Amino acid sequence: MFISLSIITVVELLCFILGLITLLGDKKPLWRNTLIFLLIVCLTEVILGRWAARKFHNNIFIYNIYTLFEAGFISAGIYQCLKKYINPTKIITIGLVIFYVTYIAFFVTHGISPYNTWAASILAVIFVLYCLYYYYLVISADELMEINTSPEFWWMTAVLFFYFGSTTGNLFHELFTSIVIGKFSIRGHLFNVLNVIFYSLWAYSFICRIKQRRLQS
Amino acid sequence: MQDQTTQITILVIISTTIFLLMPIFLVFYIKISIKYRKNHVLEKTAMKQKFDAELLKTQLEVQEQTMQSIATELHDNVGQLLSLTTLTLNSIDLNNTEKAGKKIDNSLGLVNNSIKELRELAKLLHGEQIVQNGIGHAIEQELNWLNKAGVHQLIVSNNLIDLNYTSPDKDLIILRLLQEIINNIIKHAKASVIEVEGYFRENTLYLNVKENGVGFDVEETRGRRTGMGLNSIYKRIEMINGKLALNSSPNHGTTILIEIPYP
Repeated sequence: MFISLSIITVVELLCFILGLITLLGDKKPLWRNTLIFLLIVCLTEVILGRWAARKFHNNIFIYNIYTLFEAGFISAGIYQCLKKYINPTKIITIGLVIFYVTYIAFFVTHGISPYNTWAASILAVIFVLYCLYYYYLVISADELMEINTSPEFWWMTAVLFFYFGSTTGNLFHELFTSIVIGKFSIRGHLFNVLNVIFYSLWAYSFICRIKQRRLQS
Repeated sequence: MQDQTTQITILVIISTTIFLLMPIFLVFYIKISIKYRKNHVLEKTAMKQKFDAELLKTQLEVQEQTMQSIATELHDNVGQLLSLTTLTLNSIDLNNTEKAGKKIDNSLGLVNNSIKELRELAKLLHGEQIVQNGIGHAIEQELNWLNKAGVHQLIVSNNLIDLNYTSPDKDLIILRLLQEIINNIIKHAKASVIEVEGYFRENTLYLNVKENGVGFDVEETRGRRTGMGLNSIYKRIEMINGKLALNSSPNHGTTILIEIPYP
């Protein structure tokens, strides 16, 4: 049976395959978590999302549940990147608490069916702040980073691109969904572009990582 | 209605583009910033290497100067004393006990003088270690040596003996500067009086050397390639962020004032 795949799903699958090739066996938590997260992403997109759409004619609740994992895994990754410079336990915990409180507040007031824009917006802002802080630490650190080949740097840059870019999409969720250009709404186009950038940068960070591992071994 | 939608779409595209471009600018900013810092670090490393090389050269020059002084001392002083001792001992007539006793006493005196001179030389051999005792002691040692030659009248005011601070690298360079200045005075100045003043005030070490020699045209001498080692003196002063004021004119002697941030 032929399954039609969207642009986003294709880049996610490609990134996951590249992740399997380059990161399998990597013992560092950042890369292990990333691989698990990509597996969850692909499962959500290819299986759960489609199953829910067929069964309930609405799969948004699946993406709302997925957001919980997204917050956890990306926060864990950011924690690993920041750990090189500071002890980020406090700021990551505060960010997660703010996110989960917002998530629950939306869930209580709107239910599970509509897309949780509050939590998504808050999550984007928190992640952008973490990324900016990471950049600040990179610039001010005594040890100069070789950013062209730093896997952590490009991992964080991908996060910044995606969540900074998605801020407009989250802020004007209704408006962006209502205007349709071609096959997709503006929101659809925006997220297509953002996902391509996001997974391309992650793919690049995986390549940097395997090169780094080869050099270290 | 359609116009409004188009306007909104344009607005949305512009704002989204801005949001997408911002991270690109940020990445470029970080890249440039790190590149700038890398260049800065490289420059600092190059400067440090240059400083270390100059320091090594200074150290070798101090050693060379010490060796020269020792060679001169052995040849002109200890050598002469021992030759005289040999001559005296050779001329002893054992049959004439009274004269022989006097000659032996003289020889003993000469040998004792030689021992004294050799002790002085041994002190000089510790020329490098002397810097470790502080710049005040190193200057004192240098001036004692000059005084011993007896060619110049020395007026010394060395307030650096009890200096509580040390800076081994700077001390070595300062000592070498003083040696270079004294060498120039001995070789070219034809001076009869040399005044040396050293003191420390508000994190600055001052060294003032004044002589009543023939003087010279500073600009003309600096312009020459040989330059009596003046360019080397200026270069070393600059290396330790110091200042040098040199006043001289033909037949009016020379005054050199050195100011060095210290320690």
